[in-house]
Amino acid sequence: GAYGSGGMWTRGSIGPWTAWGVVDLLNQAALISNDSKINILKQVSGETLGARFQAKRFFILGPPGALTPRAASQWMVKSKVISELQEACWEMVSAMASDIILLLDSDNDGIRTHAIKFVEGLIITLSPRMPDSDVPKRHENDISLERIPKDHPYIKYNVLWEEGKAALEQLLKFMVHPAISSINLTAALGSLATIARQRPMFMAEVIQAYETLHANLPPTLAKSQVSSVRKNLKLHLLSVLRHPSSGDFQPQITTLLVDLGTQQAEIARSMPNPRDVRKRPRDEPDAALKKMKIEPPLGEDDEDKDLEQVAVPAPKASGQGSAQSDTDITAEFLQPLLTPENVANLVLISMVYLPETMPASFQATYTPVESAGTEAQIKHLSRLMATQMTAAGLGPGVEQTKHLKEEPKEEKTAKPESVVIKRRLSALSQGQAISVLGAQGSAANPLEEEAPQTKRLPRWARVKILASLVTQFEVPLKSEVLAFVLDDIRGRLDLAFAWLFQEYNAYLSRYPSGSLDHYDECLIGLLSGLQEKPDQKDGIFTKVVLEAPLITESALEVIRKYCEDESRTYLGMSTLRDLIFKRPSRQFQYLHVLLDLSSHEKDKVRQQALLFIKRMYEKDQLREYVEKFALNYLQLLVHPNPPSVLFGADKDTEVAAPWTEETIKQCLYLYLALLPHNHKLIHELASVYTEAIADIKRTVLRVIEQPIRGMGMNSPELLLLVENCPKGAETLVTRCLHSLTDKVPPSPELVKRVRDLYHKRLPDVRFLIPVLNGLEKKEVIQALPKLIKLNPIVVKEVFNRLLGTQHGEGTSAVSPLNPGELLIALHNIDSSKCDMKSIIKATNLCFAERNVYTSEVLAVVMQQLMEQSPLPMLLMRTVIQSLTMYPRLGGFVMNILSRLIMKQVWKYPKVWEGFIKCCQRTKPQSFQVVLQLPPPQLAAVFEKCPELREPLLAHVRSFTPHQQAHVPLSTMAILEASAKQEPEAKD
Amino acid sequence: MPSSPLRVAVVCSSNQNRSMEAHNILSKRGFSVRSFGTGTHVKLPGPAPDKPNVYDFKTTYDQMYNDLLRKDKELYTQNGILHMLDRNKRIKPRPERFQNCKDIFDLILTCEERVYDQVVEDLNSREQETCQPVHVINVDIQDNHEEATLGAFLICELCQCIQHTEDMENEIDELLQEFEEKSGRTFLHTVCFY
Repeated sequence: GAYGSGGMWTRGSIGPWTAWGVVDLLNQAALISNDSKINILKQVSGETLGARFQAKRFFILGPPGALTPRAASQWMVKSKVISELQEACWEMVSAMASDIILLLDSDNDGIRTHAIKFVEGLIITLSPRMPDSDVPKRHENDISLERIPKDHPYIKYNVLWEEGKAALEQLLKFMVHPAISSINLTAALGSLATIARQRPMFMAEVIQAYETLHANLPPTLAKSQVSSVRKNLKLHLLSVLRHPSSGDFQPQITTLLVDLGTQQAEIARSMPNPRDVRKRPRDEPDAALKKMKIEPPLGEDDEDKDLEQVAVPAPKASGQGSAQSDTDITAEFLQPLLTPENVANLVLISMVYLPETMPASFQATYTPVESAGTEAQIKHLSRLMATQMTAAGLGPGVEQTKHLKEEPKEEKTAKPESVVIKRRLSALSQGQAISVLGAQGSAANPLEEEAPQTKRLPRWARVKILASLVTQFEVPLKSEVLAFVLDDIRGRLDLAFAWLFQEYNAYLSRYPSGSLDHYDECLIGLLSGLQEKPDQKDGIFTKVVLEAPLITESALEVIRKYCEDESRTYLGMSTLRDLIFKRPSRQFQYLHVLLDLSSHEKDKVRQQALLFIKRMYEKDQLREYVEKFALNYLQLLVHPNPPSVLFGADKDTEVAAPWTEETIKQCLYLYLALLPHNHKLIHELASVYTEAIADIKRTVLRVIEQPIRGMGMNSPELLLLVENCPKGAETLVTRCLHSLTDKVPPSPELVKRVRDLYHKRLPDVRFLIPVLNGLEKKEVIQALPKLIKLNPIVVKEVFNRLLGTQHGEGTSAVSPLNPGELLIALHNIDSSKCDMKSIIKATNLCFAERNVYTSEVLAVVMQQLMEQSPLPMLLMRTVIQSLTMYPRLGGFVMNILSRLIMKQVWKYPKVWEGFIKCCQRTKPQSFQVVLQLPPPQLAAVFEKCPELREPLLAHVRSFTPHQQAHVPLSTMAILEASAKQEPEAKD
Repeated sequence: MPSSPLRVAVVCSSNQNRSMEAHNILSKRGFSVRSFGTGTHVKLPGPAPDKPNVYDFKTTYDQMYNDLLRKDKELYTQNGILHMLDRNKRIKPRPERFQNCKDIFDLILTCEERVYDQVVEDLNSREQETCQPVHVINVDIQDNHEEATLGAFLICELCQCIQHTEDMENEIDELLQEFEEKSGRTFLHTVCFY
């Protein structure tokens, strides 16, 4: 073991030298005398079997392969008498050989490669060279089994032959290892080709090994390695095909080659010359049969005319019994069974075993089967399957071999018997299973890929079969199928349904003890999967829901979630709607979900739900349920705190949580949506309202407006509510009345109800406000004292209504009082019924409406008031106010004042006070009027306003004498009474 | 680092562009390198795609150079052929055909799949003598100057990686897988025996 690093050996820079050194040693051993031989051999074995593996590899490296046994045999054969020493040598060499075979299991890839080459040489040496064997010129004189005399004293021909076959078996076993490395596989493929060419009796085993490999490329190979191995396989198959003894195997080889992508022309070129075939001494009497022309294996190509000219021997006739390999027997057994129906079923069944990811080997080797369904392809398929079955120890072929093996063994030593490659079932991984299907061209997408010429089961049948299989799966496999279905749900919907129904059937078949779990999982899987898909306008979700045999609780939950997704609300709810109408037996369950959504926090979801429910509400069979639901919710408002039902199940309920606007509305949405469709419901609200807390009342009043307006004032139920107005619901009724009359004048019917209510039961004047414009004039006047005592805002509203100044839409409301009448009515309010202050405020409201109270209106008012008797207390206030607003009314006012004098205005202290104030304000215009006062009253005026006398006197003195004559002396006396000093002063 | 450099062969179709570019770089990096073509003839671009210049493998690069110089100096200068031939004749006298070479290599790199097939077929058709392994690796390189340069560097890197292995036979499979991942290319690979 005095060798350097492994690299050195593998480089081969020293390897050959040393190897040749060993050869030399051995060759010498064959020539030299006994004593030194043992030493030399020991030296070799010391080197070869030394502790270090490099040494072993070096040994293996020797040319070509098993040189040690070969040289040893040569030496042994030459000797006539075998000494103990020779025996010892032989033993040692044999031990070395078996030691090297064991190196097939080495950890080192390189060593395994060389071990393969060694085993190749060993097999060649330990098997007889035949007339049709390829013999490399260089090795023409190499020893091999046929040179061993059968009567050799020490070496047993049969034993060595068995060892040779055993070595082949080792090599074949090594090759089917599922984790074989690419490089080992390459080396082994080459070795097998060499063996097949040099020892054609092993051709069957070699071809079968090629077939097995082709169908079962190790799943561990990378993609490029798969390509490399396939190239190798093709190369070696062609080289084996060229061998004159390939005849029996040409169909298999050709099929394999075609699968590997070989052109027909290339295959034809590699066919052995027919004359060579005929020359073969091994040819048996039935050669005529073999020369029978058969159709070219996959011959539909027009290109291979030359191929057709070639006389291709028929594959082994069935009569040949023992010469047939297990695979042959099983293939023949299978072939008639491979009807399109059966094959389709196989494909479907095999889907169960598809691996998680596509193995590189499959990906690389997959080519669509163009000749699917043809005789040749079926034959090929049967061989592929037979190979697999044989490898797994199944099938008639294996059975038969078992029987044969039980027979006495003597004969078999002479006749090479097929080696059964046993592969444990466990080794038949999913990846390998897929390869079989791959040859069918349908594994990757079992439902989609249709081989053009294949006649298959109709799709529905395949779907059904697959579906019933899926139900048997465990969860991980089911998720695979689910993912597959979801991947193209549109295209695989039939599978989805078939599976779903199959699960349901399974449940029914176990009824009543069975559980719905599997069905549920399947349905949920589909629905949830669909829900996660970004765009679902195609309605597949709806389709799945509607066609599912049963909607489970959790499925309903998925549907609910779907509805809650704002982008899918409509789709989800139409689905619910369809469920409700199409599944009457459980319609309330579905309806309940929709109803639940009607108080959803998301506006869009809620609105949509309400829209749908309104339509449901029109259906007799659903009406009651919907209504009950709505009222139940409404009833919740009587609780002092919101009940837990208002909070999602997931939210923890705080018992003491107060009502919020949100929770209150939650209870009302549905009710309010139904209200316009069933006015009777209004009474329910009224009764809840009376019991509710103030916060709730406020919210109710806010939200009720729109629906009430929708109901309209002609609604009998609404009128009934007004008429009955439950105790505690006054504000609600008032609110209703306001809402109704906000923009429309009250109807007589409504007015009548309000009037009745007001007069008979609840004399609250506020009820009247909304219907003021519907009341009689005298009713309004009657109510005025009460009305103007309300708070200023309400009073303002009252006046707005009465004056038609509300919201600029007053034109539609015809007030029973015109503005003048109103103002007059205010003046005439009995002061015992109302304090003056309120009246003054009320008149101020009138004056504030300058547009309504024009100078003309006011003039009329003043005129009328002035004509009343007794004079209203506020008359002069109004006169002064009017004059302030409209100064040009001065002349009119003077006229009024004069008339008041005639009415002895001084008898009404308040008015008289105002009269004087007015005169004072309007001087000097008012002098004319003042002069008309009787002397006592004039004196009273001067008493009140002394500053008036001087100007008035001056005014009179400016008169013409004629005019002055008209001023009564008594008046003049009062004028001058206190002015007596003045003329004196003047004088 | 092993004492002996790898014996490398680089093979393309005509032993002009891709194999010579790699030959050039590998020899500069100290590899024991030979280059070959597998075609039956040496083909160089001509005035039109269907009119290549065809020579046999006996023709020297120098003779080709002078031939093309005479035919159309401008064209062959402009498309870089003369420059390439000039480079080639500094490396070795004439193109060599792989099938005619019986020398032993540790590593044969081919530049396209067809060439790989031809090399592997040739190696397999030879009579085995020594059982000494040779690894054949295909690196696809398009037949133009730029790709040839890039390919040559890739080949060089690959050779260096293999050169640095402790035990090439044991590690080459894995090394190639890593290299595939790293370079984003795939390599055909097989082992043949002399």
